[in-house]
Amino acid sequence: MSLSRVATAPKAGMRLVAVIPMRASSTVATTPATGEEQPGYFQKIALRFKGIPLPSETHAPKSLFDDIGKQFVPPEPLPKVPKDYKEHPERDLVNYPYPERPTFEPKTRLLMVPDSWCTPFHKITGTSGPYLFYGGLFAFLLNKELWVFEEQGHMLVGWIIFYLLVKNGFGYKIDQSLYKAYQERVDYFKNLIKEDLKEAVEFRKNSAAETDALKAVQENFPTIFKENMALQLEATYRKNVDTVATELKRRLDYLQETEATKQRFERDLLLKLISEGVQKQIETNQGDIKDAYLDNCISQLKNLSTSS
Amino acid sequence: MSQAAKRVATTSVNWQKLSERLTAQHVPELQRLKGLNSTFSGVVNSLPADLPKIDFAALKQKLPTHAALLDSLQKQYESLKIPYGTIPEDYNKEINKWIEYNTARAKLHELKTADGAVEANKVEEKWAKAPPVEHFERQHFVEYFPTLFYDLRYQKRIPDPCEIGLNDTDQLEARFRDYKVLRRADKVDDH
Repeated sequence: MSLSRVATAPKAGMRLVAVIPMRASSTVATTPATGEEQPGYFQKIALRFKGIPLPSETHAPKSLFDDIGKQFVPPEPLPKVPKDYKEHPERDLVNYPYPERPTFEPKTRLLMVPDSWCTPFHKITGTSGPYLFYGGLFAFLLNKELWVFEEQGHMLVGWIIFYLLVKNGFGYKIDQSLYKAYQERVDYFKNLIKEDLKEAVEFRKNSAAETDALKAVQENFPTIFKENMALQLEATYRKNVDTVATELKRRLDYLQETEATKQRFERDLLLKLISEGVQKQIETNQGDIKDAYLDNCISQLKNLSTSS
Repeated sequence: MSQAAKRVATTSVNWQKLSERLTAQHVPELQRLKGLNSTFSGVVNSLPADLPKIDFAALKQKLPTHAALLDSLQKQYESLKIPYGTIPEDYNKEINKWIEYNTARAKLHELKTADGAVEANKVEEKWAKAPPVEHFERQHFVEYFPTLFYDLRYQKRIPDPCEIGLNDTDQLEARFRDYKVLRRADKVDDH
């Protein structure tokens, strides 16, 4: 590609300096195109790399590569062991402190050399000291063939690159899942402990309730037994009283009933006698009762007619 | 024994409060006693306490023909003494026996509570003494979860990958303690 399109016309006598603006995906515009302008092919790729949603999307799609280069940090740090915690009263905490599990692995330089092996150099040689020392040591060992760089050694480069790729690409997800599994294991043990303690507390509660119940039983049940027996006696007595009263009532009712029946019969008989006698007298006209009755009726009629 | 002083017609027990204090173990017994109490109370409340007063004079006036009969009924009625009766002494003795039984039961429960409290204290002290689970070392897992982990430094364990329980009893170890397997009956030593 000719550079003439980027170079301005040189002045006379000036050295030709080509100004090549560096174009890389990182210098592409970060904001998505406006509604009318659709991003180009390479712009879309750049947006995808950055995790920026395209104009037609509300959010960027979830991808395998979202977590590249991320470092997983546990959301909660491990609980602290109390400073004065002793497994046994004679434990010497000064010389033998409790070996707490650290949340993060010790720091390393270049993934190989522990930081604690490097920092003593700083006072004497400065910050470059450890690298020079260990680099020089490696060079010495290599040169004198004390550590032989054998023919499979070339694979080391590949393996290191492979390890770095896996760590940066999938390290986050691996750490996340391992942390989750670890938390589940810890929670399992914590549940066992909680159940043990819960049993102890429940036992105390239940046994206290049972003690109180037995005390209540001791206080009340003898009274209840005696009361039940007394009530049973009273009930039996009242039943007997009721029986006697019922029997007497039956006899008195019988007498009253018979007397009433007798009186009713006498009344009915008398009524019948009287009515039959009167009827017979009327039929046989005994003592001219009909004539007398008629005369009585005529005189009454006469009285009625005179009064009206 | 006078009748009026000993007669009981109402319950003096607060059943509601008592049932709240008792545990499930005592509920059937309480229900039975409460049932008996309510049955007898029902009978007592529905019947009169004493014999009713009958006006024989008025009746005699009403029924003069039966005056002699009413006389004799009145004599019998007024001379009638219904015995109240007493609770047999054996039943009261049963109550005392029951009190002894309940005292023994309560004492047993106290002993069980004491033993259980000791065990509960042991458990609570054990877990108070333990470091946080996240900082357990290898020996702590064996110490605090002995059913789940083992330590071959001081435990003799037979490999049991399928977890059929070879290490649950020491039967196998006792059987093969001196590494001798069962000899067959016809095996001899001379050839």
